[in-house]
Amino acid sequence: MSETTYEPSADPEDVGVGEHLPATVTQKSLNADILRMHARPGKIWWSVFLLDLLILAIGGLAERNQIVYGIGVAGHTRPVMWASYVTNFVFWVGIAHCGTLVSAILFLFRSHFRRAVYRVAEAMTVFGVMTAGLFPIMHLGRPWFPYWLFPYPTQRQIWPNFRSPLEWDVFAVTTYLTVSSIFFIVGIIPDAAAQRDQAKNRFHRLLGWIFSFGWRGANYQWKHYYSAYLYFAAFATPLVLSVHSVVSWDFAMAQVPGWHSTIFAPYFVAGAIFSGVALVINLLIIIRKGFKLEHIVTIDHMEKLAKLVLLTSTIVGYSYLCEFFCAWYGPSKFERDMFWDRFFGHFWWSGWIMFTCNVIFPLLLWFKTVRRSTVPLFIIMLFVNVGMWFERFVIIVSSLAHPFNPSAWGVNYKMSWTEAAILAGSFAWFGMFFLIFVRVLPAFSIAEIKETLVPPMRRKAS
Amino acid sequence: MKRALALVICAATLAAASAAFTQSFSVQLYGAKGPRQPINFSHQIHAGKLGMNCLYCHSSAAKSPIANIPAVSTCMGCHKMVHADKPEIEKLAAYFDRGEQVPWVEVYALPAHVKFNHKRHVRAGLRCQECHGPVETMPVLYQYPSLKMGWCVTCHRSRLNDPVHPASMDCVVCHH
Amino acid sequence: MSDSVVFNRRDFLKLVGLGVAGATAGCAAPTERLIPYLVAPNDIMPGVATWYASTCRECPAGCGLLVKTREGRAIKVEGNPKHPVNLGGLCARGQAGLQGLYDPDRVKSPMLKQNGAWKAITWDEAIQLAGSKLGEAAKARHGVALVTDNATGSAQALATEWAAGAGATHLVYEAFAHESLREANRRTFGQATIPAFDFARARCVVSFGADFLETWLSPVGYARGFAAMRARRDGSGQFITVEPRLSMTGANADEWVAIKPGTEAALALGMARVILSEGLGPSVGERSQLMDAVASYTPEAVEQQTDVPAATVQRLARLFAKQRPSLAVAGGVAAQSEQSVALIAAVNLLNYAAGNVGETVRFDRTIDFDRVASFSDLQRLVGDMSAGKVDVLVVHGANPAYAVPAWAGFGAAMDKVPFKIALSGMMDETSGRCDLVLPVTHPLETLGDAQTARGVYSIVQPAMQKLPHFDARPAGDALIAIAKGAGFGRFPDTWADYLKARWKPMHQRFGAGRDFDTFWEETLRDGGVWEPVNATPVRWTGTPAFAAAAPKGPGDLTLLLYPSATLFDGRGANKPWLQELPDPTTKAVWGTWVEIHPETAARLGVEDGDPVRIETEAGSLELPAYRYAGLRKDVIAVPLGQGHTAYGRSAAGRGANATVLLSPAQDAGSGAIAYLSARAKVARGAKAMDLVMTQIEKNQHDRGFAQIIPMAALLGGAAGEGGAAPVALPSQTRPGTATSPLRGREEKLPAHAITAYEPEVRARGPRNIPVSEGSYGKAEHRWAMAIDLDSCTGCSACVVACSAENNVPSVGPELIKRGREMMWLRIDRFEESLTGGASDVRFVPMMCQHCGDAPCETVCPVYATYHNPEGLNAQVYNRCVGTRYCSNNCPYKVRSFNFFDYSAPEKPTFAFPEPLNWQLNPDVTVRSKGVMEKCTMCIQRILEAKGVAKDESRKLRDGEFQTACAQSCPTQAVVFGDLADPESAVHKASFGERRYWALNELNTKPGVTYLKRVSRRQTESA
Repeated sequence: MSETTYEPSADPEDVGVGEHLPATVTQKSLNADILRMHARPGKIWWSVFLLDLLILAIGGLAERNQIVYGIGVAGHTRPVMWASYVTNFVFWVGIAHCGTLVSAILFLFRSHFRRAVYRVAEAMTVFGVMTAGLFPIMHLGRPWFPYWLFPYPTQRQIWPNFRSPLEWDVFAVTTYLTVSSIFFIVGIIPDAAAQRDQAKNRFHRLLGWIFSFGWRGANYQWKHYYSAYLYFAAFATPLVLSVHSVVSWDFAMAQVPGWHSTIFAPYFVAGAIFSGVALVINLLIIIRKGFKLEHIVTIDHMEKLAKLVLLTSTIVGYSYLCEFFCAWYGPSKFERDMFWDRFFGHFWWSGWIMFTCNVIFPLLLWFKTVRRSTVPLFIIMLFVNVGMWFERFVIIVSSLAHPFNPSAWGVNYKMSWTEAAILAGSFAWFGMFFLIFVRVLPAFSIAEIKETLVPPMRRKAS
Repeated sequence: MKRALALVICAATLAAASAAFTQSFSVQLYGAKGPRQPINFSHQIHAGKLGMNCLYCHSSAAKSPIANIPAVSTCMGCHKMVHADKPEIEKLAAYFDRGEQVPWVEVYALPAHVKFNHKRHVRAGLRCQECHGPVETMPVLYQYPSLKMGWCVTCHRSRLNDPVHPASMDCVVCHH
Repeated sequence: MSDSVVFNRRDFLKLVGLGVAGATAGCAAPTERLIPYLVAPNDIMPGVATWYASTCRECPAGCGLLVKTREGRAIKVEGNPKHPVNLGGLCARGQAGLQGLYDPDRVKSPMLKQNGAWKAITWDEAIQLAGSKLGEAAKARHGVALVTDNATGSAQALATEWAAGAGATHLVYEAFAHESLREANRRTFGQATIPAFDFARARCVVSFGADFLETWLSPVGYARGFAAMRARRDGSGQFITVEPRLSMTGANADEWVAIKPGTEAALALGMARVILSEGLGPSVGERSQLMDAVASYTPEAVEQQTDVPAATVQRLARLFAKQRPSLAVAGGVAAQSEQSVALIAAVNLLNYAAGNVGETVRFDRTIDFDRVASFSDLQRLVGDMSAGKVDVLVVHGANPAYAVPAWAGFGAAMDKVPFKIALSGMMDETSGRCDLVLPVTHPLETLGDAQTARGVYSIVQPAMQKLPHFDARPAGDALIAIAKGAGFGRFPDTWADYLKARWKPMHQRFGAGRDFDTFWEETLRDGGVWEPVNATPVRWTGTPAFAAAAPKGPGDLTLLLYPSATLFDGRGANKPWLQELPDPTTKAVWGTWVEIHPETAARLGVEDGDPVRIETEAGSLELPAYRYAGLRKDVIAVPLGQGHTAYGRSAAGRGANATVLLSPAQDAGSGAIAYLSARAKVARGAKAMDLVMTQIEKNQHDRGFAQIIPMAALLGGAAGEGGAAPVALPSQTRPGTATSPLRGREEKLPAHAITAYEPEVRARGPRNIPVSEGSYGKAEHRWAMAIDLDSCTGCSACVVACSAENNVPSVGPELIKRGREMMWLRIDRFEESLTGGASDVRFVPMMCQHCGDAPCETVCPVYATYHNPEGLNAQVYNRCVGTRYCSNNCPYKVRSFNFFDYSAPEKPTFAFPEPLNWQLNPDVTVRSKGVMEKCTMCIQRILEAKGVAKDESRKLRDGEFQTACAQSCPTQAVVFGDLADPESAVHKASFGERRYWALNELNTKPGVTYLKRVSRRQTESA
């Protein structure tokens, strides 16, 4: 069901070159369209929201049990000492990735299509990190001592071990959370001002008042605003690479066969963007449908994002093949055994799920019709994220299950109900923030989209 | 106004957090007063006024990781005669006759994951007071040091390169 | 951390009325009470261990013990190095004796059964009742029967005297009574006893099914001797095992002769024939007589009967004769057939022909089984009981209702006896059938003696006062009291008096002028007295008729029932340590299984753990399958010892008692019960089963964990697998100095940086903190271990020793199935090849390797694990937050994690139910929920020894202390010590030519050095 596109204006001076918003979108209608999202929520939203809270509560109960009885209620065994929790952690950090990419890097590259999508992406980033950050704590044997990982002066006179990749994680993730939040908040300022001025009820006005930081749209404000934004974009860009590289070193720095590999950093970054963009597409498809914003987030935006997914999918696929080649070609017997086991051993199915979802299905995106029709797009992106979750699962669990010492083989990990509940809970946790967000803050950048609008007076008669 | 409030709240949280961090472990019992014991035994009289040697009663402190609480028989050794008519001593005698041990209340308690060795410290020539404080002035014994790890470590660090009795900073010496 | 484990302090303080209770004080609740001594005992100092010598009563062997007590609690048992039976080693079952003492299911007070229900009564009532019953019975002849275990010594004497007084038939019951062995010796040598087998002197051992490293007679002593034999480097020391199922003992053999079950005798005779006919042996007077006996056993005939190639028969015979004095032993399943006397006689003949009798088979320190009743005696008793001729039955120390096979009908007969008294600490199958149960004390809290071998008079010394809450009395006192109540016999007032009286003559013999009390005290201190005994010279007296045993019944598979190496005859079944100790061969725990050949399994389409239905003419049983290539295709094997219906929480309802598969069958010669007598049909079973194993993968995939070196190469100098181990030059091995390739000049090497690992010795590793400005103190030692795989038999004694010393919890089958066993030390078992003849099974004790460059240390974010200045890879439990990263990164997988709070009483996972927690070592923290733990090389022992050395202001002496594993090892395969001391045993061992490191290529620089196993395999050509 591909949609009709709107002819771009031929005028080369047109600011909106490369942007395909319909002529019907005007300065005025835009504000209204976006702020309409803040209208009193209907039955659907409430039911979704309550269901979400229910799942979250179940996850919370599971976590409570785990704290009371011990991490043993999860399925970990020796040798598989890390499993779904670390998988979820890496998965959510990965999800969180795309935000900074879209807002920072694409901003620097002046690729205009980001304007319609970056606010959603950034929100997803912030909430994603907030979700990811929970898992390192939940997976601890003694989750009441996470602060021991932070370097602070204590009467015990002991400090954390800065040689440990987990210690690096602490810094990587906190930094990323800080920067992406700042970026998110700065970006929202002008729109928050619009909300403050035009919101119907006090609550939204109050929020607008808070997040607009006294924005009046004065010239000098715009001047500082853009320089600041540029600065943050430049500042955030290296993070896109650093964060997930550091996360990948949790594995690459260990000597476990299947982990100890130099390809991990780039491979993880690509994978992160892959899954992140996929989720953005899913979210956008839902929002533009739910709030009837197809004319603002057009199918062209979708297509551009889909191309990004296709690109990263090929990178990920290349990394898989690369890993196998090295294992086969390399000297390490342990490595070779492990990779064989990964696809033909006890966890063969997870390996194949990963490969199909991340490499085979995305090939469909070569077809323009697929890229431009939301339903197939939505399904493929769902598969991509399933695949990416399993990628982490495969890397972590199937590697650990086949360690150096054969006497430890054969004892295999089985996911417990607790873990399943907590995984579901994490999605609910993320969903909760997002559901609220779209209702209380401008989910699209009014200011930046306006830049792309054709000024009325310049409009040619069609 | 709002700003001031926000500032106060932030400051308060920060303070609380840092306090929680730095004071994250302590085994202070009964505040600074010391517990009420079944018999009003006074170290002030025995160790202070009479100047008895600590090791007379707590003999195993020099021979064992654990410093013993004197046996009731040890007390009775003197108190069969001395002040046998005093009410507290009669309490003691009553315990002895009933063949019951005196349920003294523990003042110096360490968590089970800390293995403190009295013998090593006494043999290294530490005076009991260096850790237990001026016991000879305590009518009621109370916990003098904080017994926090930092308290141990500070002393150990200072004697790390002591020529005669070098202290160890190796974790497993106390935690095993 | 462990405050939840603080047992009722009042109770144990009563033992000594002690001050603050060491580690168990816990994070004190504000009302923690300190209980001082009432009257200070002069021999007990709080916080300081006291040792008592005693004797192990977990099996008839009677090894010498040293019991470690703290604050009046026995917390560890170790072998007594002075004791002639075990010379310091102690097996897993002996170590676990403690859990019998602290068994939470012990009977608390005398119990009387009134119309089916148990009722607690007082001792006086009990004695009064028992007395009256016996008084009545004593009038009628044969009215009373007394069944005891092979207590030996004074207990035996008392029982006999008592029985005589009561006019009772006295039956000394042992599940494995070795009647056939005694009978065969009587017939062939005129000595109805069990000789001393000198494995140490033997230059070659052939075992016909005898599992002498597991359960046979005196395993610890034999293991010691066996190791001594293997230690020789003169091309001798071959061990050939002849058995249809490769046992743990067999796994140590250089050659496995997979013989047809029941035909072992033929091979022995065949070998004898070769030796006699070729005149390889010494000239023996009875040559012609012997020759006649073996004439028909030509190699070809033997091959015909036994499936053993004629060439092999000749080769073995020649080897056996060449390597004199050699030793042939027959036992285990093979010697429990219907022709076991014939087999043992045949083996005797072989020994005699080869001139080993008087050399390695000597009748000097004979093992005391003389009073043990044969199975036919038992049947007689059963007959009397079911005939109603027995009015009162008194059972002590034995559990015949469980151990006697169903067909003999002991249990049924018991029910016919009007009044039955059990003198037993446990409510086991036998006690359960009794009317009156008198709880008796555990040997570790009882005074007594034992005389398990000629010339060895051991003392059983109480290591602690009687456990509070358990109103038990010594069996001796109970018997005496009953006798007095019934008014028969003339006994002293107490058992102690009786014992002392018995020792008066000893005093005459050994007193040497000292008064009795001094003598008695010294005897208690040493654990007994022993004298050298002269061998009774024997000649060949007669040759019995030889025949092969033929198992009966439908089906094409022979059923082998063998005693479990961990539970013995089932008496270990209620001890969590033993239940959780992986079976040395199958690595299975907490259950019973059936071992079937992979091909049979394939035929049935069963995998490991799938149910298999075994049918004999006696009955049928469903058990989980364990596919084992170390079996002949035509046999299946099932371990005994499980399948209790009572006896306590760990034993009841676990596995199955396979004796139900036996139909009436006895040895023709001795009347002994024949465990090897049934044929069986197998089919795929119906109900789903659990087979819980701690090791599933059986092959080491050429990863070099267990390496081997041929004897030839060793004598020739070249090394075996994994290339020649580099032999370090003196300059390199000299600790404290090393030449750094970086600086090129001599520089001080910190002690903790020294490893036997060559590169480390040459150059300083990057992360080695210099001693001088060490941020955590001076380092004088580098603790390390050398493990000799040539001595390691896989017996797993070290595993239990480690758990006992370090408070390692037992977690139960459900959690082990999920890979959550807690043992710090395990025995990895790898099968290289299991084809008959060339079998190659290797055992590797695997514990923390204390790496010089440890993968676990770098990844811990909070320094919970770090490198200690003395080279230990330390683990600080209370700093651990439980990221489990260290375990992921450990290539040896030797770190275990507390998934639950195993010490918390209120949790279902409670590993130390009161009073089991009394055994906990106060010097070791009991780990809490969510922390990682692992081998510490017994840091608490290191610190204690250093303290002692400091007090005496001297340096530590090599070998003045050992880790728990090293101490318990019957073969001394584990050597522990200071690598920085060039004179230390461990230093010498670690730089020997057989050394290698597990996963050498990972450059972890382990502190544990393995010594390659030596292969002495003979080929046909040899």
